[in-house]
Amino acid sequence: MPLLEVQHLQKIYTTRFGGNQVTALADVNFSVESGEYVAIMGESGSGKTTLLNILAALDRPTAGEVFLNGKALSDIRERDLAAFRRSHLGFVFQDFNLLDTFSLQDNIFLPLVLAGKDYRDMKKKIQPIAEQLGIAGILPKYPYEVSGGQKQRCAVARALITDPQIVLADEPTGALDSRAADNLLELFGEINKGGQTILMVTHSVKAASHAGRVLFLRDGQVYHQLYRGTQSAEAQFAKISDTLTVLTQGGEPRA
Amino acid sequence: MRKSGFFPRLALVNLARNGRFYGPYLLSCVVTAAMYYILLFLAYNEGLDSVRGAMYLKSFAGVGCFVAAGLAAVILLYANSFVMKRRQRELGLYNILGLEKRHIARMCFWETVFCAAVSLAGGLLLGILFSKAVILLLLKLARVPAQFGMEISTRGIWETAALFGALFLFTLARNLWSVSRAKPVDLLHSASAGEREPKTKWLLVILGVLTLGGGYFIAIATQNPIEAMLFFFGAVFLVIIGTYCLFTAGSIAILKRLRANPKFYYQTRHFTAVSGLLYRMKQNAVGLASICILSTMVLVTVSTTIAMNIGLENSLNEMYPYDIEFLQDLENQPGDPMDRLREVEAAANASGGFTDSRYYTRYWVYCGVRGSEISLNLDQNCLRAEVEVVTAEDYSRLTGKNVILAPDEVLACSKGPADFPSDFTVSANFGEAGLSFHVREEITEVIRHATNKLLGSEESSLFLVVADRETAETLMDLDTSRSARQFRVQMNLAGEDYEEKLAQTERLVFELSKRDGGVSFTSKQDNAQEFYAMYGGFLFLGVFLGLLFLLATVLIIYYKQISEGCEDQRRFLILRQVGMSEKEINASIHSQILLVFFLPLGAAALHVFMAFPMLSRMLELFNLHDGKLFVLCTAGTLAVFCLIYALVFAWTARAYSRLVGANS
Repeated sequence: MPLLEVQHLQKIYTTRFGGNQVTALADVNFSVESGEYVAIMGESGSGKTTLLNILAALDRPTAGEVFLNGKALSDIRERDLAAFRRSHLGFVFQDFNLLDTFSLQDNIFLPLVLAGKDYRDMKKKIQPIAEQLGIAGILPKYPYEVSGGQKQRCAVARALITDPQIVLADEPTGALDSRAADNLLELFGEINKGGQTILMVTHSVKAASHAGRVLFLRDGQVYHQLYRGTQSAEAQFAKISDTLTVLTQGGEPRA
Repeated sequence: MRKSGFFPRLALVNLARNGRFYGPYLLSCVVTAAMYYILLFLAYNEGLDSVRGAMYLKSFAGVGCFVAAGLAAVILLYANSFVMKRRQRELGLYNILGLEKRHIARMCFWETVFCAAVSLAGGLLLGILFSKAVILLLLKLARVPAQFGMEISTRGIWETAALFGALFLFTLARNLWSVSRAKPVDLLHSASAGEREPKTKWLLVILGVLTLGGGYFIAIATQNPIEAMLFFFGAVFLVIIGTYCLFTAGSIAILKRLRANPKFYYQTRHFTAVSGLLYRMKQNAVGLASICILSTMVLVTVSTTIAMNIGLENSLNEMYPYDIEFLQDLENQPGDPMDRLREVEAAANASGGFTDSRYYTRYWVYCGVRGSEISLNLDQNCLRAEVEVVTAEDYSRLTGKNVILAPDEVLACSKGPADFPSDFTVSANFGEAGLSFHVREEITEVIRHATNKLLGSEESSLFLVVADRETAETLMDLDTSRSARQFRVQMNLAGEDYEEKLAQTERLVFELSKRDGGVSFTSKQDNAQEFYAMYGGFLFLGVFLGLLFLLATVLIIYYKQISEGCEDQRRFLILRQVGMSEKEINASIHSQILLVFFLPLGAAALHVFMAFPMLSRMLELFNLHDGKLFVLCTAGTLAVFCLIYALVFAWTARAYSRLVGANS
């Protein structure tokens, strides 16, 4: 059974006074196995963010269903949603979304504190993650005191500390310079090798080329997908670029 | 080429689009301008001159003008700086889109012109419309019949225009200055600059605790009413300093202490609240302390003025036991006192009648008291006391008791000299031989006469009932130049109420003035006119300024809510994504907001509570001894204020929710 299964997902936005309807997702189908590293690519307006919001249970689809571990998201009651999000999903955002009022350590603790965990357990959990992400030395600092790359690694730590079944990343390298971006992508690779399932939405060909599989979204549908297999990231990079070229020219994919 | 109307139109569009900020700003400008005009209108009103006691009303209005002008400046500058801070981004964008700084300056100029025009036009219109209502209210409070038509004070209009013109000019200068200095990129990013974590300033905390404690101590420990009056402003000053220090530094010290305790801090309910509050307090402490101080001022002025007004009847009764009191100075005004009595009663009957009357002869002299010696002449080492003497015959008639005294016996009631001896001597000078007396009985009730002394005196007094007229005369003869003999007739008039009695008094006095030698009298109603005017003026000023303070408070609360809302928009979103349910976030943020906004109210209530002993001492000076009345007035004012505060909070919280809800 796949870890995440998306079936016939449809999302139609209706403007407030009922006039125009905008189809963000027409009919999206795909599944993610446990331990996979999947990137979703697409132009602006292709429905990436809508898809991610639905996967994160922040938004409800108009039709279709999302199953996590065989459990339909729509079956979860509204008041259990927050707890579900907290314990099963981890989030990494383009602009980090760290709270300025917390130190980095407290930002990482946030989901655990919300879950009512004991302080000593939190302390134990943060140690290995901080070491792995190379942020052990800056934990007492505040978000405005550290670089973008460091902020994003803290955001990753916050996503990982709850041992989520799947990490959802929204354009995680978008606000980073190229070195910090490379660094982060390497970390994602390592984390994935450790068995963590990752689903990443991105514009960046480079980011996508690190993933095990790339899904291409166009006009609210999964248009094409590429498996990396045993290829190097560089070779994958070329293939993705080609696909994107075809995609933007509106033609049919080659493979 | 640009059309000439471009900048005015742009300015109008800007004002309309930023209505959320400019609306309350303009509204408060309009109201302040109107109130300022009304106060000027009263201060310059010539019609008021014909009213007795108008001097008080006008001078109170004059004082009010100063306070209102100061408050107008604070409100305008605060609101303007708030609005401009929020608009930095917009101005930066204009700059980047190609408006040069001088263009932005022109835009700012037109915005200010429109604001000033709306505020002044609205304020003056409102002021002129309401000035009539206000003057009627004031005259009603002062119990003066109203008689004027509609009036407009041109001088008031000019001075209001001048004040607000100057204030707007000043805000314009400040805005232009900040625009000219800023770089466009800074303007764009200024709103998102990272907030540093607040530091604990222990020195301020200590200073705050000391000053606040000192202020409270003075308020509670001062027993003497006159000292209370003297120290009051010192205590107010200390409390204001203490409030600012503790709101800014104390709150942060406490929150940091809480945060340092992991067991407490890392709990779902405390985690976001403590850290959130830490930053909220950093940004809002000064504003909140201001709200606290303003609220305290409203509460104190309104509750004391109301208590004074309600207590005025008691004070008047204390000062004037009878409606009218006639006085014959036996040394300077010839004639038989009994003839005088008959004359007065006949005149009273002719002018509407009286309900009861009494008469007695009052002998009095200022004396020095030292041990068991009383001397009519003072020297350095004695207690100064007013000695009143009444004969046993008069005392028996007036009290209904049958008192018969031997020539060396007295009944005594002493206020001041503690443990007045049971045997004492009275002489012309200390050390000389004099008359010896024995106190047969201490009495508690004295025969009261009319006095114009509003302020309860701290002076010692001694009331003696002596055997007969001879004894009294002998006493007074010890020094005729210092002593006085007065025949007093006191009566209550038959009139139903204040107005009737006042009219009757006038007729009665006119009647008596026709006789030879004139008449000396003290009328309760006639004197009350002035007190009503003065206390009415007090109450008017208290309530009027209270309203102004309230307006400032409301405005600050509103702007605080908006700035909090803008801050929380992003926080709300992040918390949601990290896994906090909407309900939890709402609960957490609302509890923080509630705490932040009700902290000043709580502190204000505490201030009032602590100031209470001092205020009641001060009110004693105004012959208001009714503690229960003052408690009721304070509690009532507090309750009404809390209600208004809660309503304002609920109303502004809607603006907040709209902001936070907009993005989720």
